[in-house]
Amino acid sequence: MKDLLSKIQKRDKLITAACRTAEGLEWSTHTITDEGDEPLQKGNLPVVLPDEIFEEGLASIQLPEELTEHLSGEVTVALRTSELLIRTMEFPSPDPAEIADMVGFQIDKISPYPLDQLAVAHEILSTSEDAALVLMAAAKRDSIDAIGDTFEKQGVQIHSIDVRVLGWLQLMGDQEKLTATGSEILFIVDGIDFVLAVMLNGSPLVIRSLHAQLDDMTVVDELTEEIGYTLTTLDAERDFPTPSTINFWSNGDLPAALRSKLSKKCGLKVVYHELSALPDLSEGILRRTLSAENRIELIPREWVEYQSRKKMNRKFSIIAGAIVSVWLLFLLIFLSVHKVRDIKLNMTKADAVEITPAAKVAQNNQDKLRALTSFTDRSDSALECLREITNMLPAGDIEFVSYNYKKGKGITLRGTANSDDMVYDFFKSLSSSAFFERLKDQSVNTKTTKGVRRTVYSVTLELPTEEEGK
Amino acid sequence: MKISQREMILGVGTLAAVLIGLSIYMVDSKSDAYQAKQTEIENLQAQIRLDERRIRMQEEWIAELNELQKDLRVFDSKQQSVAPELMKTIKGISSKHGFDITRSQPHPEKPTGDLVELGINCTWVGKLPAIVGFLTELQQQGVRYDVTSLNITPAGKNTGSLKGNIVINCAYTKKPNASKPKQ
Repeated sequence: MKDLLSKIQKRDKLITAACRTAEGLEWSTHTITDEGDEPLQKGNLPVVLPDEIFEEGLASIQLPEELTEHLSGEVTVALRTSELLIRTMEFPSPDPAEIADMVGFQIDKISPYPLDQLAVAHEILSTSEDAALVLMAAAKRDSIDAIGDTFEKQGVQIHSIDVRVLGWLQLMGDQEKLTATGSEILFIVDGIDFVLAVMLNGSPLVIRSLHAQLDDMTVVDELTEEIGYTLTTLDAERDFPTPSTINFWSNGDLPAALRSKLSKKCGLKVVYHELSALPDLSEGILRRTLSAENRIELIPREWVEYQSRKKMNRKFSIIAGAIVSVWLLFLLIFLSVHKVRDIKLNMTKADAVEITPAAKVAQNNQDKLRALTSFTDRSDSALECLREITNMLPAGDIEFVSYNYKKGKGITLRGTANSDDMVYDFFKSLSSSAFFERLKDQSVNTKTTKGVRRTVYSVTLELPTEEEGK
Repeated sequence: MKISQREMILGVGTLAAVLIGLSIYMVDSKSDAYQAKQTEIENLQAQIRLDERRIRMQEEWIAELNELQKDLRVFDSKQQSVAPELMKTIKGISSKHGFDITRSQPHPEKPTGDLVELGINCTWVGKLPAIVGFLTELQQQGVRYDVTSLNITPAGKNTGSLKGNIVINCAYTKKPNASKPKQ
């Protein structure tokens, strides 16, 4: 289950509502996706209560250690009505900002505690052109903090705090169990709360927590008195239609005698309903969390800020971690590439070292062969070059003064002739010879010595280089 | 300690900038070495390819080498100097053709394995037929002799005599316990 939840949490948002039951603690979890929300799981666990005080609120109970496994995502808890100061009031403005400003003032007027010791919230029930019906709630900060501590001990962060009775009213409304038009009186006895609610057109005008026990027949007098007082108050405040029915919602059977006595004393019809016919209360709280943006929210601002900051810290930690991870990955790849290159270099060096002895022998043999081949190659030998140049020499008075042969490089000739034309013809013949690569440093001068005019020439004949020859 | 969102963005941005800077520094500082290694690998691979080709062709070379070496004179590797014997042989050839070697000077030996090359610089005087005859006989000796340099100038006016220098490269092998070389 934990694995499933963790997988879902990665993609979708989870919302869980938790509240006390007579036996322990129950919860419902929905997963919210782009397509909407759908129930994921629900369950309950027994809790340890000192001295079997079943009505104890969330702050006093010892939560089970395995709670963290079940309360996933954003957690909403619900307070008992007896822990709250709840009033419905008509405000002379439908503007939410003005209403928010006035709520604190109104609560301050009716609360026995100073405002700075209270957590205050409100819910706009209905609005008209120039007025709004607003449900206000206030709880002592000590109680809220105690609940927070109780859950914190088990590693659960609370994201929202609602009111139990409003969860029941949500479920009744969803199942069309509330009178849409007109008034009605509701008693909700769920083992934790004993609540009197007076409804008008489906909205609560009065919500009061009673300290009564159904197993005592004298409770009828108390209930009758509470109903009378409440209706009288409402009559004084507004034009309130007299209800005709008392709807009694409870988990246990309502004794027939008690029912008939109450009906007789109040003069109203008493209809009994099983709370078990409704979905779990945590489901009602969850539906309120999911559907109503405008609802009672008693969670202290600093909790929200703390959670927001924590969320932000986590977000930035993830981003920083991701950046560092990407960098480390880059570093790993970078170093790996270098390492691979080092390995490749070492392997290549090893291959080269391995082949070197055989290669040296081969190189030696190649050098020897090359040297001996040059001995056998007579194509441009001193003799052949001398023969070629002699053959190219034109007939007439032309002679060499100097013949310098360098194997593989060339021949430098110097000589004399009795005319320039003869020298030019000689050069032309040499340039057409396949023996020589090219002629360079050609020089032809005329000199007169002792009255004899002679042409003096010099030329360098380049032989094909070894590579060109090959 | 409370850190605002702006400070966190700045922190993450700084972290990213530092890491990017570090990465650039690392890549930059290592890129030359990386490139040098690549070049070294390429050079080594080229050398290995060349060596492998040499080794593959060696059998062919050895056959050719053996064919060429069989005509070479073989001297004992312990022999101090073979230059006198060679100069004497060359002198003998030159005398046959009236090619007068007036001075001989051997160069240092140039060994390639057991194959040795020795250049002998000779100063000579002679007629054109003598030098042609001498060169022809040297050429007929095959791989033993090779003329690497020849300088010819007239020895006097209208005498028909020539003079100059010739460098004759002699090839021979040196082997341990070699018998007296055949002429």
